[in-house]
Amino acid sequence: MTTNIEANDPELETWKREWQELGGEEELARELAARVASDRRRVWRSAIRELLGAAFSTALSFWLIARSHGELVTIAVCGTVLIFNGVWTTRLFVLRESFLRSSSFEGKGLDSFVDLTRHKLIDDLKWNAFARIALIVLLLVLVPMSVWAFVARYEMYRAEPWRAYVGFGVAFGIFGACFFVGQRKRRRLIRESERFELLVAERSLV
Amino acid sequence: MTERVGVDAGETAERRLARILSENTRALERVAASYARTSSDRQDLLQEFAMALWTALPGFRGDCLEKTFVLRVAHNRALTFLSKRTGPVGNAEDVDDNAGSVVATTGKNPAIVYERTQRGNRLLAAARALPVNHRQVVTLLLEGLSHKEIAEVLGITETNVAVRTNRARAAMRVLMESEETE
Repeated sequence: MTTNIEANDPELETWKREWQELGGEEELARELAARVASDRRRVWRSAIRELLGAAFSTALSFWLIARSHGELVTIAVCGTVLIFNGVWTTRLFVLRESFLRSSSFEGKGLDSFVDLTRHKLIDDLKWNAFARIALIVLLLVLVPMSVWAFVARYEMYRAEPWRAYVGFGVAFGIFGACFFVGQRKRRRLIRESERFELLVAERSLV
Repeated sequence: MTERVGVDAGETAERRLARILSENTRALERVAASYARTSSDRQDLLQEFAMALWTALPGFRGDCLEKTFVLRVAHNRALTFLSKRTGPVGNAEDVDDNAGSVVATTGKNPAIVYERTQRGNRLLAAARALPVNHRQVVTLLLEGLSHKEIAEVLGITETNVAVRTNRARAAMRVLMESEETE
């Protein structure tokens, strides 16, 4: 693989010999192949979990709509959940296609790889923004609905306050957790994107 | 899960990956060592290389040597690995005292092992102290790739490879000499 000029370079030849003596951890190749197999199983499990979650919340939303007798707030909340599920499932099948089948993305030349990685980071940020907006919209519906529910059943909640703590607490706890996780992911993506651009800029210097 | 076939249609995807990993593990270890400072980071990076190879292999149509393809995937993956790391991007912060763990130490005379470890440490530490753009060129050169092949892997011109190689080698000489005098 070397050219004549390189072959007549004793310093380089010495370095190459020393360099190529590095490495050689026993059993590593087999370990790596085994880890790839377990990673693939993990990725599939994660995709199946996401799909089951979407299927469960979709079924629950349809069930709630069916027994709501046209109640506007329930339809609005369930409708938002259904739209979110639809978009999220599309994302799983379209943007995360490499999880489900092969991808030539990794083996591309550097320019293509940089472009694709950049697109991937931008797409991830867009999905993150979509999830945040969806959460805010859902929250805007849920807050007045919760106030209305609390006022309408004030006597019951006064008699049994644990119902209020558990019901509202769990609902807002889930929202808080989703929002917190989303924000943390957003910060990580922005940081990753900035570092990636920095590396690309550094590599393009002659 | 789908069965993937590559250039050799008779070879299953799992076997092909296992074969390629077994043939190129040492080169992958060296690439990982040139990017990752700690042993756990190296292990993480090696795992990322293996996973990236799994997803990339079905797209490989034999338009270059298998080793060149493996190194391209590894260097691409290392770039995204670096973007995920915290701390400054680039050079000397990566030098560590544990580079010897990358050197094979089984079944050898202890004196030879020690000497090899010292030489390997010196070279690895110098390579790791280079900026990423120079580090990539020099590590690919040390793997035995020609300027043309390096240019293909990195998507730059051969002239650019030659310029970076000269600068990287000059910097490595200085780094290795300064380490010797210390």
